[in-house]
Amino acid sequence: MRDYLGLLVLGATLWHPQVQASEPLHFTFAEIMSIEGRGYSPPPYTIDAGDLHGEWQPVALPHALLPQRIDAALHDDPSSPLTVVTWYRLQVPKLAPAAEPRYLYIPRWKTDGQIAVYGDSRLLYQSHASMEWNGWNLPLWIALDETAGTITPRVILLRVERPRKSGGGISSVWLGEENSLVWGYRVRDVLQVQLPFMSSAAFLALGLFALFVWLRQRDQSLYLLFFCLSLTSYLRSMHFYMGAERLPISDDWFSWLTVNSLFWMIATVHFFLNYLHRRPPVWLNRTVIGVTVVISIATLPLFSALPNVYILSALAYVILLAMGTAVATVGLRKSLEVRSRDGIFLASWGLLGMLFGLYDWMLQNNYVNIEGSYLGSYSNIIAFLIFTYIMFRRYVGAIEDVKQVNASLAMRLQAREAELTQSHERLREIEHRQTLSQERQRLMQDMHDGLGSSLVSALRVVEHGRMDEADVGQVLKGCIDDLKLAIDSMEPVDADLLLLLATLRFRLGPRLESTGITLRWEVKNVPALDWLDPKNALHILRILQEVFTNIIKHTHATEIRVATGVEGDYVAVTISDNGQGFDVESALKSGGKGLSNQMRRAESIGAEIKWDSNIAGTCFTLLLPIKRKKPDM
Amino acid sequence: MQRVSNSSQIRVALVEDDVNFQNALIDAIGAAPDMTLQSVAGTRALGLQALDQIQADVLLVDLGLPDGSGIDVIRAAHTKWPGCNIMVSTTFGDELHVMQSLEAGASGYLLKDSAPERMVFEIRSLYSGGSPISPLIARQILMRFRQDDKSAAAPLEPASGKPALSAREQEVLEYITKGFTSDEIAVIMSVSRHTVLTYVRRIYAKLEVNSKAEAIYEARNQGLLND
Repeated sequence: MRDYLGLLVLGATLWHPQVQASEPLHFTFAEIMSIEGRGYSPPPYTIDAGDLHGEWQPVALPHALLPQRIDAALHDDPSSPLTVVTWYRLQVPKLAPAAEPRYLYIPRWKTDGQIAVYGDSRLLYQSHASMEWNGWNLPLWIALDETAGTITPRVILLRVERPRKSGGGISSVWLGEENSLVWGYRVRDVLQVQLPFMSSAAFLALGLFALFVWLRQRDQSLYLLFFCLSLTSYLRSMHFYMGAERLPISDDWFSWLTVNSLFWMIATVHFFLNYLHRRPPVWLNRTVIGVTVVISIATLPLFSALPNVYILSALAYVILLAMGTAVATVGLRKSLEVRSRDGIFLASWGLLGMLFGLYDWMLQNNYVNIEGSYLGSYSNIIAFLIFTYIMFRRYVGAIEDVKQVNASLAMRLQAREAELTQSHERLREIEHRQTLSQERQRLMQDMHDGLGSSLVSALRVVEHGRMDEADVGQVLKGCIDDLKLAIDSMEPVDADLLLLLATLRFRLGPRLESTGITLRWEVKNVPALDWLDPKNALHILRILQEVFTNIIKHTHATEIRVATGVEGDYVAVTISDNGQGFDVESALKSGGKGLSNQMRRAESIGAEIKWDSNIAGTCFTLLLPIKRKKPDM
Repeated sequence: MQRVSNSSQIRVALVEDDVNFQNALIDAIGAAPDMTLQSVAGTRALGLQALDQIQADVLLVDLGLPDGSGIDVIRAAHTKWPGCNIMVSTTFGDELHVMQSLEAGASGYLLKDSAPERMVFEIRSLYSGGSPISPLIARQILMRFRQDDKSAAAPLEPASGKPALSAREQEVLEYITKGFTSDEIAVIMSVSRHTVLTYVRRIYAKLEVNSKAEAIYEARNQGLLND
């Protein structure tokens, strides 16, 4: 139908020889003639259509040249293959001279040999690269010469040379001024050449990013798979944009890379799917790896005995289609089983991609209109977008996870802190209560032993009328001194024993003065006593107070000497008087209340008491440990 | 410095609600030939009123008055009677009461259980420029000024006009914390007993200035005062 229409169009143009210059000419009809030969021959520089003797046959464009069946009797030598040259002849109507140069635009062409384009018998263009990779996916945009006296050619000849056993063909052909044709060319160039090139490069960049992620986190194999995908896809895409110039590597290696990259890609997709549905089918794993390895090795260009991969590619693609379909189908089934959304999505696209692949295979083998484009690059783009989407979701998901973990950590930390604060407060409260209760006990004990008992005994004596006013005054003075010392003991003395002694002197001084006893104060600096808390301070004050009281009451001394010093691990406080002295043994035995109180208090602070008494006086020594061995709580 | 003379008596004013102590003091002063009792007030309000009269030489204030704290009376007297020697009467001479009185402007304290002769002696000593001190209070003052030293060492701290203790003053305080009496200290430092007591008086004055500066500094910090 379309060909028929094309003929009609051409017929119409022929009917009106004077065509509007701005309208491009669209050739959907040509004449062809084929000449068989052996080996590739360079195209002649000039050729006149009249020189080509043979039978021209009209054909519709686009036109496919199918592989020829080769007679078994003919030996097809790879170094000099059986070839065929096909000439296409296009008749151009007479065109009025144009202000702008004119161009020839051939959207697609295909041959495993060489193409050459002639305008009015002169060579205008020839493909320069090798026979196989000659840029067959690049649309041709040929400027018609604009030299002095030239006119737009009336006859366009296309020379297509190819091996007889492979196909070829050309699309329809356009001729016209730039502004009327160039958009068609540009759109095709972008879609068919530039897009695959740019997208595969972009994906490779993303793949490198994934590779770096994987290098830091080796357990995340998905990132490595992603990189492999981007690399294989990049290799594969070279098909679509390379070939205008000679390749830097041999045709054989280029073929091997680009064809096998598809196998590698499908194998990677398989393992990617495995990762998504997490139910890897062992048999398929083995098959995929086996097929991929076998094909990769078998098609290595090292084995020159085998026909090269380009020739084999039609067969390879059939195997590939089968493998890809198996991978996608199994992947889809497993993903459905585990309801992996990503897996279902990817496997479905894989199946669709196989249809694209089928189309490409048919296009390659000229079973469909050769004017179409290969779809493989687009299915790659979309597949890659899917991969990127999956990776993006995982990546963002991982970041979200970290955020949530951090948030929950922060919350737990806060809770723990609150707990700690609470328990700390509880502890402090307990400690506070303990301190209060200890303090209460201490004061109770002190009141009981000192002030209380003094007052009670004074009361008894007063009640029996056996005490004069002066004695009552003495008792009360003693009680007030007791109280003052108790109050002083509550001031922290910062481990300073001398300050404690000073306080004692300050309080008892007036009383000593009133008795006329001289006090010689001969204290020296002593080490700090870290255990000197209010409780222990009061014990020391009471012990020494008792010493002074005893001296005043019983010894008739006229001088008291107070000295401090260090004796080994102890600080010694010595109080000596020049009184009459007393029998220490009997005094201790008789169990005087004052002495026993002193002993008890000394014991409770880990101190020792010594008396050395004779008729010349008494020397009292209180030995206080510099470091308490077991703190008395 | 000696202002005691036959022609001028030491005028004593008393702010005290304890009648027994009032009487004990009235008796003691009455027995002293060089003293007269100028006024006796039993409440804070009356005590403040008494400050409108002619300035006394020695003002004795009890802190626990029925209608408020004697601290207010001390503070007011410090302003209204600048030359007056203020002393706080206290049962125990404990650090808390004495320190806050000193900071308000008092320069001595009197223990309520002192013998009459002792009371008269203390008043006389105060009048002649001496001040009593206890080891615990000496230590407290030392600590107070040591803290100031530390904060003054910080470069950002403004000088704020706080006086520091001289080496001699510090020496006196340290001896007192070791239990030496003013007589003993006078011998050790080769000065008169009276000089030692005037050192103490100077120390108290610095403490008062210091606490005032601190109060202003604090108020500024809290934005109660503008510069």
